Amino acid sequence: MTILNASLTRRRPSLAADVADLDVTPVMNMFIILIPFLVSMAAFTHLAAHHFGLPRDEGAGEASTASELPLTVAVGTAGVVIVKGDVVLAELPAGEDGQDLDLLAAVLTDQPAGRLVLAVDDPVGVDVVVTCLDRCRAAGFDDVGLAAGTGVTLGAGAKP
Amino acid sequence: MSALVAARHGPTPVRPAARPQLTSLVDMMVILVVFLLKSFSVEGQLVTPAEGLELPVTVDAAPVPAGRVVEIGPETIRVDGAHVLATAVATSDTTALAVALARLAAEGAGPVVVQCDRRLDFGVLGHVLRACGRAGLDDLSLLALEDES
Repeated sequence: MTILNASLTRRRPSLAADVADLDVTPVMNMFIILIPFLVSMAAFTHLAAHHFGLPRDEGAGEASTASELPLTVAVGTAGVVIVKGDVVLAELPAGEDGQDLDLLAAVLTDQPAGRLVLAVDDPVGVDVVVTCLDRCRAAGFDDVGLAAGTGVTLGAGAKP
Repeated sequence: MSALVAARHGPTPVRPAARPQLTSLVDMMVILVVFLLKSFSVEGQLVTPAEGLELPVTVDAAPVPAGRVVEIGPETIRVDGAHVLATAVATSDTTALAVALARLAAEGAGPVVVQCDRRLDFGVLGHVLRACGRAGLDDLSLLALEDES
């Protein structure tokens, strides 16, 4: 009879499954304890923050050397201008899709990391400001000041 | 009568206790636990975004500091959850915001987390930041949603 059973389960595995009936109640009990704990500790949206300062009134007359002046990135609807002291390093005119912020990242990467002031014009959107902060941080500028711009005008300096 | 029936048919067979089939439930629980483990956060969420606020998206930012919250929504500006003024008149009415921020600074607020709607212009945000600066709150952070892609 035992030989007959063995040969049956070898040919039909479903018979063997009927024999091995696991008691899953302890597993269910563990899940019922685990799931409320995991739900309470889950974060479904990941938030991050850009830390920035409010730059002091530090004009060219107050800095001892030109190298001490922060790099200034002026962002306006017309485009982006990157200035160091009174030297215009690059002008990035805005296209149909808005400001060319990828090019901004490329220009900033060539500059030595230090202090940076982001001067933003009033009509520029908040999401553009956050993208600029992203690009500055990616280029190694962690000390960023956020200031109100005075209007970006292009055509005064070099193009990259 | 029942004894007669029992004698005629013999003893009633004992049925085994009915056991519910839990396998599919365990399968579902395993999928749920894997999903929850994937979104598990040890740090927890220190700041909750305000209702109706669309935060800007960032790809490279720092963890959110624990601090007081200034919310700039499309309709209202709130300081620490209390309504201060309407966003539409934010650039013209400076007194209410200045008073609220001065109260915050007097309480010895640490970092200030600014939540600003992404649909707004920098004009409104800049106005609130200038008011923060005048109140002596210069440890500022701008809240954003982390892009996980």
